[in-house]
Amino acid sequence: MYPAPIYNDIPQEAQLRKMESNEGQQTFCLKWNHHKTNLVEILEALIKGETYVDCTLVVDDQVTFKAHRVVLAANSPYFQSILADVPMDHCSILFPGVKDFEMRALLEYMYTGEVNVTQAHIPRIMKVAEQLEVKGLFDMTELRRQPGNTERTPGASPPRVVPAAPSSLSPPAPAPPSRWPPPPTAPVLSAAYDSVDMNPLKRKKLSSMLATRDTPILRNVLAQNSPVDSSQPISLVCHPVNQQSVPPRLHSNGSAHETDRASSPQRPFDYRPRRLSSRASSPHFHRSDRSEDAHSPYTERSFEEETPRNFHPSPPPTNFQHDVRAGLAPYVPPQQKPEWKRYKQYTRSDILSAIECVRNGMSALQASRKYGVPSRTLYDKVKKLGITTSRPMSRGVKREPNGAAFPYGLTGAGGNDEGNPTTPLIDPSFLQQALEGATRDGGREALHAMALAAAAHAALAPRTPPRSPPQSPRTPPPDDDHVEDLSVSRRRDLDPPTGVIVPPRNFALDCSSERD
Amino acid sequence: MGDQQFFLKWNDFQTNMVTSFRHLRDEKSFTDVTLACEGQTCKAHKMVLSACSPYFKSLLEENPSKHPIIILKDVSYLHLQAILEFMYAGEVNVSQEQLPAFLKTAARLKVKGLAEPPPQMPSIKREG
Repeated sequence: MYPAPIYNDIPQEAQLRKMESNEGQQTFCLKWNHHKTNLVEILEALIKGETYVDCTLVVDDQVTFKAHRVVLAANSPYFQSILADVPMDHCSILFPGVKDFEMRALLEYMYTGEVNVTQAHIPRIMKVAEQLEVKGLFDMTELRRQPGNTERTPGASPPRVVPAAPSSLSPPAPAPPSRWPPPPTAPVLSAAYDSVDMNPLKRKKLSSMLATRDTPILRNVLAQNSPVDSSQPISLVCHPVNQQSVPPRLHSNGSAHETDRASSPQRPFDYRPRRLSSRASSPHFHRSDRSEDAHSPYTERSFEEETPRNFHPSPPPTNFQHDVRAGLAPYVPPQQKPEWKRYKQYTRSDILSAIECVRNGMSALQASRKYGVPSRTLYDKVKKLGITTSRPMSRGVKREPNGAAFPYGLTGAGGNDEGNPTTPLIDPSFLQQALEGATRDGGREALHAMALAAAAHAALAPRTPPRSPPQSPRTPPPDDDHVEDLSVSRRRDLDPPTGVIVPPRNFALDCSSERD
Repeated sequence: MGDQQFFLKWNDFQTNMVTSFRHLRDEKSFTDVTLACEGQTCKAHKMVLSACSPYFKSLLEENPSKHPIIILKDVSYLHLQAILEFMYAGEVNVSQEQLPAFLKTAARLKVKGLAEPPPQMPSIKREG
């Protein structure tokens, strides 16, 4: 069964080793490209001949299957833990309630990586697969679990019960608590995964999603970007999945994750089906992504005061499963750094000086230019302080019909918002905060920030004190997505008084001006 | 004849048996079957299982293996533990909301004392 190469390699390897010792540190990688294929083929042959089998699987009606424990363990963390537990010469594993066709299919899948099944059998097979945590099959089913359920990490370690990935889109499935020990293979996979070429924007997008821990999306995106991971099944053949690929959408303002917020079910990110279609169904991905993102540079924007966001790979499934839900419903991850904060690029002293100037009679507009503070921010602050500006920056900035459009925009976004979508989202204090965070150079960022704040406010029923230190996380990124969505639909009716170039997405600003 | 019989009785026999079994289980001594569900396993004694459940009895009889692993479908690990506890100790605490599901599981596994005579076994076809 052993193909020739292996024998050829050996002397060669010996030679190389020698060189190494003579010459020093140089090492050589000997690689047989067919090694994996060979291994798989051999396994298949072994199981067919029932050679070296060391366990018997007994299903209903006394149908027995012989198999290799090592293969079972390799394909299922569940088996791995069980079999590690029970070291025996030859063990029997009884599966009361499992039909022979189910086991046959699973075994074939485990040995060859694929199996043909009839459609009618799929649900049952998947169920058993889930129970046995068959890699690839199990991972895909994992997402269907409901919030109350537990989730498993593949691996041999003892079960850990975790709230499962809830998707508001997926129908509640009565999934039993199960476990998810960390996969022994994870490092490898993540390494492979890290190599996946992703442009910074995508990465960023991923990171932000990670931040929100919107894992289903993440997984999907990753799936699209990772041709690498061969350990994941590409798809379930028969699944009527919408395979449409999800190109990373990058909006003009560079805020990448907005779209993925996928607030509405009809978005491409329809978790469940996609899940099935995606390769990155394995939990490893979370891990690898996270760690990856931890280093991923944000290149496209400068964040003056933004410390690099930390995506700790650490507490994986536990939290993020919750947050998956969060991604779908308005929810504020408390530890999250507000997105809009990134835009603040002036210092407190800038604004203070600007205010002082206004107090002394300078126009808000002038002051804002002088100190590089967003004029709106300044104006709002000044107004709040009760200072009359010499030449009140016209609320004139008010572009009128916008307010009217406001609800619309929100509605668009608010599809799954719990709040009343038509109620104004903007709270002045929020805007203020947001405005404070606006960059000097940009209406655009400022607007964006406001949009975010507005969204945050919308999602966040309890109002946060407007004056709280900027570090306090308030805006959940998920929500900016809403806003972004909206704003996309809105158009540039805004001419910034400041002469700043204003991006199309501006409804928040409009609103603010209306309501002030 | 004068061959008189004496009746020897150890009053604590049952208690002793119960505590001993429990000890054995706690120590995992002589365990010879592994029950697995929901990715978790627990070890038990075939003898106890057989004694307490005709379902396990037939299952184990049909599959004479030194140390079989029984992977139970649709059984909650929590319930399995409770059932084992019941089998070993004769009593167990189950919360009220768990009770119906627990009894259902017990019925499926035909646990004596919990599942009364004809338990319906939906997906389990094994009959002793």
